[in-house]
Amino acid sequence: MKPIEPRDDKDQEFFIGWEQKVPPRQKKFLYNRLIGIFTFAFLVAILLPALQVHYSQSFHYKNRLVNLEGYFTKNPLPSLLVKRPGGIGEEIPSYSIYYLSYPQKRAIPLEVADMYDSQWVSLRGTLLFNQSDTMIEVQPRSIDVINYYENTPPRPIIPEKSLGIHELKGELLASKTYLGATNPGYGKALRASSVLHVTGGIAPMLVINLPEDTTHEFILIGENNIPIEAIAPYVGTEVKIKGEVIVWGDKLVLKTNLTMINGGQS
Amino acid sequence: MSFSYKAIDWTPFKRAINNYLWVGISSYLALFTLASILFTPTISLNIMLIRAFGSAAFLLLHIILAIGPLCRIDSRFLPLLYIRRHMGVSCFILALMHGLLVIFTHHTGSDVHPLVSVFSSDSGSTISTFPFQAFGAIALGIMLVMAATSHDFWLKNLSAPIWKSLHMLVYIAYICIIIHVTMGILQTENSIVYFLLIFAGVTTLCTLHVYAAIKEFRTDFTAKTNSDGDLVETFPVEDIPEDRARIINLHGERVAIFKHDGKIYAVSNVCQHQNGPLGEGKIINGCITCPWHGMQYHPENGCAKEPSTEKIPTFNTVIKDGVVWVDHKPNLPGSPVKPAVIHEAH
Repeated sequence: MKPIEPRDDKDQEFFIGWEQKVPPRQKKFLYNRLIGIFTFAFLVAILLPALQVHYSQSFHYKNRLVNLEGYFTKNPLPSLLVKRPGGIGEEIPSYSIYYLSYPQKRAIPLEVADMYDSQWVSLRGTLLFNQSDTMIEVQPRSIDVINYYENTPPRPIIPEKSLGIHELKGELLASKTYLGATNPGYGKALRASSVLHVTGGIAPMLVINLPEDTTHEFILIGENNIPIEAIAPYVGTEVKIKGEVIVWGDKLVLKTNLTMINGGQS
Repeated sequence: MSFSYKAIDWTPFKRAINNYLWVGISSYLALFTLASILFTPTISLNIMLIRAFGSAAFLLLHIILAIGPLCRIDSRFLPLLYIRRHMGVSCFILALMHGLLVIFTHHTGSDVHPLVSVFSSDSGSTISTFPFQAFGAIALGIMLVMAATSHDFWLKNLSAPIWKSLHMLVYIAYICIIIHVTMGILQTENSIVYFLLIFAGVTTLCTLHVYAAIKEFRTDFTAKTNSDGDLVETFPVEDIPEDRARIINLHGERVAIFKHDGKIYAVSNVCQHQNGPLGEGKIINGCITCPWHGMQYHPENGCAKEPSTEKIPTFNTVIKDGVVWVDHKPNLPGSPVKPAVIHEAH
């Protein structure tokens, strides 16, 4: 008959959940493992943010309301033209172009754009911006027409030049998310947000990544300056898109339509 | 169970581990936040919190799923079973925060209903349009059901098999979460470390489960099978420690053979509470005590200690030449049996 082999010492301790104390060796064993697990978890908590992609320098000052005055234009997309202060060189346009949107995921309604088009207005909102572009999230009902009783400023002239038809490849995004509504404002995880922004009338933006972390951004508009909301299914994806490239002030605009995406596969 | 009904049956150990758990979770979230501000200062607050809560829930789910196989591999992990449901509810709370923040940040503020948007914003078959958020929502739904039914009240009312089957859905939830993560954030983040961490998590869990299964498989198929009519030869009496058991597989059913107070008892190895391995338990105060949750049974009839009403099948035993022989046909659950008396046999 085989003699009993002495059981491992660890098996002699037996803990039942409703008992008040855990056997000392078991307790020591578990607490050592917990220390290991916590150390690993804390390492992960530092590692994940440290290795995140470096986002574009975009911001949304949600809690800082600003009052701005400028010239409202609805074409090629609703924007406020604000005179640059101080003396500037001839190569720099004398007006800044601030794209306009409504809060959340909505564009300036067309009837509002029609109402204030080509007028000097004051408005209140919050700023979203990155290195080259700025958007104002306008507070609804904060737009007022400025009545100049005398010395009405002349209508701003924004230089506009067509660079011809080009096919461009880049990631299609909602301009508002890219400019800071969320940061990062691109990538798969943000696609749903971008899609809703575009279906809400926010202008899409084509972002082309260039070497050395530089980018080119093109605001997309449809034929006759109509927002192309139907482009939404392509948002958040890499696309090849053909259209007329227009330099509007210091902005790049791509005038296109749905049939010009991915070689007309729409 | 052999204790009166309470919302949570706190013990000092449970309370201590629960406190450590939440200190750990809070520290993780704080560290994640600080590291985000340090390394990616322009990140949006919402996005940072979404990632912090999501990654914390993902990590905690791995720990929860590792507890089961670890307990089968090494019994010193068994006390963690008592806190696993607390961990599960904590994991659900973290996942819920992640989900609510995602809905608030990405799916509100348009004319589309937020819940419709979760399921409809991605509907393509390519990687960039794959509906990864729908998988996250399904996993959250499963975790909601599990968290809501985690109390013993539901265990008693649904019955152990149904409750256990319901909670096995955690593996479906885990698969959904792996799809959610790999088709979601992994498509945005390009660091190899993200991929390696997920791969290591999945591999570790699979390895632990397979190793634990192999260990049990070996136990089942290394036992003797000599038989005499309905009786099957099992272990020498001396190989069974006092107040402990040896487990043997008889025609596909695991039987726990206990030695207590000069007698040999054989009962089903499966606890009716949550299918715990009774044979890895111990006889305490004359009752077989399950190592998983402390459910207790009288060895002489398989009835749970009052006020519980669960019953397990018993088996007839005899001792021949110092070896325990067990009748492979089980008695009805709760049937009294005459134990084999050791000194009579000798």
